[in-house]
Order: sequence, then structure tokens, then C-alpha cells
Amino acid sequence: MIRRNAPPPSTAMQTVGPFFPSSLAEPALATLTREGHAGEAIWLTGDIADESGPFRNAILELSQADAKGRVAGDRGADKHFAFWGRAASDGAGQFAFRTVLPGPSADPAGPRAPCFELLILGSGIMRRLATCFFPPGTTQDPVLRCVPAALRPRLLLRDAGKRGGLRRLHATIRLHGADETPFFRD
Amino acid sequence: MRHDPPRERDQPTPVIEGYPNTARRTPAAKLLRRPLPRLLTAGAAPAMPLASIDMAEAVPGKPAMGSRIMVQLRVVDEDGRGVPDAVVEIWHANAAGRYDHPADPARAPLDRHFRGSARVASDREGRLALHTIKPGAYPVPDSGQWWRPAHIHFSVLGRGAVTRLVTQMYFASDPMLEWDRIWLSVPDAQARARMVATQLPPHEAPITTDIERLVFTHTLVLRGREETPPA
Repeated sequence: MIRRNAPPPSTAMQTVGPFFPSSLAEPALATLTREGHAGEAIWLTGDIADESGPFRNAILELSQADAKGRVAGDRGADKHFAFWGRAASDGAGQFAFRTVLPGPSADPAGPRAPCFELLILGSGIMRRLATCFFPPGTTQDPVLRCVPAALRPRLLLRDAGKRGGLRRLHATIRLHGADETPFFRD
Repeated sequence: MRHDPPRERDQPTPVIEGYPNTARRTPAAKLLRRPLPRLLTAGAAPAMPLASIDMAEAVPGKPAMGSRIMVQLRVVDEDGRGVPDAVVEIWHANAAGRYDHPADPARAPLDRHFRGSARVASDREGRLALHTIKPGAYPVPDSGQWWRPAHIHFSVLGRGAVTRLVTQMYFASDPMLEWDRIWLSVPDAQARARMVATQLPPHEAPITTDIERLVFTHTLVLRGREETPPA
């Protein structure tokens, strides 16, 4: 279809660089739960490394459903839940979100297993990286099925005991190398 | 909303020679294809604390060093429609080319009258005005002889996470653009040009504008367009 005066395509992506300010990754953004939220509160923790070791000041952005599997904007979505969060990694590449275990959600691609969508930004990342983690033992999910079977375990969270009385699930993220995390086009 | 993948030539090559972090942090494997989940396409921009501030005057009555500027930003979708209530995050170096960040090793001085970051929302037409100073160029740490040209970082959150845009805005007639590996990493010349702000001649600046500011206009285009029935 030819359109006159077609508007320009989306603006080119550029890296956030090494100096993404802590004032824009304030700790409050890493807490998705609000007083009175539904479901089980958990810690979603992770460690992120590149080819040469821990990645400091990686910016991780989490999108997920609420405890009942409702997506942001759905009718009846939990008003006491944020659906989106941001955390920056520390010098050891560690990050943490306080969130809930999401419910399974409806999706045109098929019913989704509980899952945590992550977007990763940082110095040297020219195009944001997108991936998705699942609770331990997940097998059925239309996005997980797009991943070669041998690589699927890399997208499963590990049970990492408790932290402050809450269940802790841990993601291991490797950006480049033999144990590289699978990433998606988005 | 439709979310077509961007054209390859309009986006940066992920690995840039002379920028070692790009090789260490770019996956070696091809990115996997998947259906775009509703989780990434649904919902308004996240609710975040916003503050309309003048970055050029972190301390009221004490202007920061540098040329005072105003950037009239418009956030649109790929149909050119204004995106209301987009969250726009801004950060940049001060006039001397120094970031207010503990990791910045530059010898250039900090300026406590300059506020290095802001977070604001677009209005109903997708517009917002940014009041700041023109940032300075700076040498890239540990890179040999590579300098970044003056630039402003933008992070934009629109409707649905897939519209997420992180980019940089540059200034016209800057000879340093042609030497910048990050700006040059976008293959298409027009796509590069679209990252460069347009300066308004001072006599054409809006009448309401504080005359002690140079005025620029700039458009950020987020991914996605409304489903339009074929004509």
C-alpha cells in the first residue's frame, strides 16, 4: 500500500550507555507489589554476566501478569499490583524484584504459563534484549515451545530458598558465550 | 495495535568496532522468533513518579553552566499519531561533558546547578517540552581517541512494552557526528538524520518562550500503529 506523506518508521535504537542514572532506577520501581495485592509475594532475583564477568548497572525491566493471570489493562486487573518494574544490577551483576507469582494468562498464541518477561538494557547493548523466564518445571507454553528443547532449561528459574520469609526464584542470565541465555526478536 | 518489526537498516548494527562492550554483550546465537505476547503489547505506560523540572536550574535562581535550550518533543506512533501519556526519561552530560554518575571517570567538573536527569509525561497530543542546557561532548573512557558528540539520552515507555524506545538525540551541524561510532552504527542515512534535532531560528521561536533559550524540535517515533482498514 502506497501512502502519501507516510510518517517515518520507528526511531533508531541506541544504547543507554554506561551512565544510566540511579535516579531513574529508583528502588521503588523494583517493587511491583502494593499493599493489598492478590496472590503469593515472591522475590524474583537474578544475576547477569557478559563474556568477561558480572555486568554492573544492567537495567532490567520486568513485565508480567498479576496473580490471577490478568495483564495490565485487563478488566479486573489487580489495582494493587504494578505489572511492570525496573531494577539495576549491582557490582556483582545481582538484581531483585519484589513481585507476585503470576497466574497463567490467556493469549492469542495460546494459554501462557506463568512467566516473567524481561527486557535488558545497558552499556554496549545497542538493541534492547528480550527474554522470558518461567517457574521451575514449566513445560507447556507457546513462547517456551519456540526455543530449541536443549536450551529450554536456561529459561527456567531456580528455586533459591527463601528471602525475608518469601519464596525466591532466581534467573541466571548470560549475554554471550557457551551458556548464553536464549533471546527473542521483539 | 500492529507492531511490525523495524527495518534492519534503520536500526544499529549490534556489534561496533572499538566499543568492546558491544561484542561481550551481544548474543552470539540468532534471536528466536516468537509470537508477541499480550504481556508486551497491552496496557498503558507504567505509573511512575513524574516531575516537570528545569534541568538547567536544579537550584532555583542558580542557572547551570552552558547554553540554555528548550527541546519541543513530540512522541508519535508509526502512523504519526501523537502518543498521549508516554513516559519520557531524559539524561545527559553537563555542559563540560561530565555525567552526574559515580562511574564517570571524566576530569571535567560536575555542576551542582545542573540536574542530570528527568522523567516527564507527554500531553494528549504526545507533546512535551524539555528545559535544559546543551550537553558537552566527552571522550569515551578507555577507547583511545573516540569522543561522543553532544547528545541527549531518551527512554520512552508508551502503550505496551513493545513500544519501548531507548535512543539518543544529536545536534545539527556537529562535525563530531561523522566520527561517532554509535551514531554511525545505524546504516540508513535518513534514519541517522532522524536522530538529529531541528533548531528553530530564534526569530521563529514560539512567542511564549523564554528568550534566553535556543529552541529545538524533535520527534520520537514509537513502534506500533493502529489497525487501519485498507482504503
